[in-house]
Amino acid sequence: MAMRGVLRPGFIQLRVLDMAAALTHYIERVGLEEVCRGADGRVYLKAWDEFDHHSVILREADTAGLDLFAFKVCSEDSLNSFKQRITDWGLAVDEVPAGEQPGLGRRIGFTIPSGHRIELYHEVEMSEAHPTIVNPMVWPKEPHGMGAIRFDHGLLYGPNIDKVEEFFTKVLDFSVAERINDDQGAMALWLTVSIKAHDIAFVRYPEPAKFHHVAFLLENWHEVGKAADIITHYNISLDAGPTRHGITRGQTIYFFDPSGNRNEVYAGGYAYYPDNPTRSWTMDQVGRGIFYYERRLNESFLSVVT
Amino acid sequence: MTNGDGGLAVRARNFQLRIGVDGTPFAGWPDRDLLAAMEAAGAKGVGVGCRGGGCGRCRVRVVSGEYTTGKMTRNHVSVEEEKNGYGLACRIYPRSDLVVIWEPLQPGTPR
Repeated sequence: MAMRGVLRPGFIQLRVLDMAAALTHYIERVGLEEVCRGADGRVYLKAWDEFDHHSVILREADTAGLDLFAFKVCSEDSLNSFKQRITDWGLAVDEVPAGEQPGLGRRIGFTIPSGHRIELYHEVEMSEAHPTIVNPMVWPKEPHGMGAIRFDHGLLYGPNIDKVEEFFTKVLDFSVAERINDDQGAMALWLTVSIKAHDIAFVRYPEPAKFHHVAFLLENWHEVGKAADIITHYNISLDAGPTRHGITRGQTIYFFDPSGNRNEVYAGGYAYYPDNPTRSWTMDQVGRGIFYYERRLNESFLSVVT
Repeated sequence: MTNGDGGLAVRARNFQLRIGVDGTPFAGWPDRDLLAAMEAAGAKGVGVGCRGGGCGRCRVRVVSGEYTTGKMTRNHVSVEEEKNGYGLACRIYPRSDLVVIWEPLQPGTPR
């Protein structure tokens, strides 16, 4: 499929309790690079294999969690088209002018029925530290820390997941790659707009706008093991893994940043094409779906969010 | 910051920490948060979440004892609640023997 419309997750903005500790974590441990700092104190980061200006924004606050999750779309025309479709579906859409973040053009923003703020944009400057383009090296500079390749996806918790499914599939043209159903309908959704097994995921939760994790891609299973070594060496709060997800088949480890926002680094996972059927899971097999080797959920998966 | 001592170093000050007034005591130190002390001792009674002051899973009420606190999310412990003895176990550092009770907020509790 030629990719049109929404291309991929573009950036995520997270709240942290302690900026200095967060920067040590995301730069030295996860392996991101600092791009710049804003006058308002926000710090802009990117992973080494991303061309765009930034992909992770940290904002110091008195709570942890997610400010917003943004997708890049293929053109300004596409952005305008989505603005109309989102409005027609019944959400209020606001405009964020170019320059609100460095390197970024105009954005549109809206709150989906799970309570999360989602934004779309097209224009973004190329980063200075972008991957080499002419006669490329495998990396512009050798990766450090866990060596995160890119901001890959997120998992968000909130109510009205059925409405979220309708919105993402009918308005933003996503597909449901996998789902967990219970007697109340969709309990969890893995949504993709690309050939990745997921670009964003949702779990039903009574409180709106909650954040489960942000995920960064690693090259392979060995790199997940190296990430685990770093997690122990620096006494980083471990949540689960190294293990594999039955859902998406990703090889994974879950851990927390110093403010309690969950991170994932992962490798693998299957390629999804939009003619693939939705894989579905029943509640009696959900343990294997989330943690394939343990075959059961850990205590924190459904209860620990920021 | 590394975790070099593995929890085995001899420490000068050692407090008795309890989850609940009838809880089995475990050892605590001023430089180790209550939740980490509980986990290191293999004790239970407070839910373990992010260990970073962000998720609120380990929210407790301190029944007795002196302690200091680190920064914790105001979603789960307001300024007023902190004054009244509430805190996150992962951000409570004992200054004496302590007794706490696990009182996490239910999801969606109005704040």
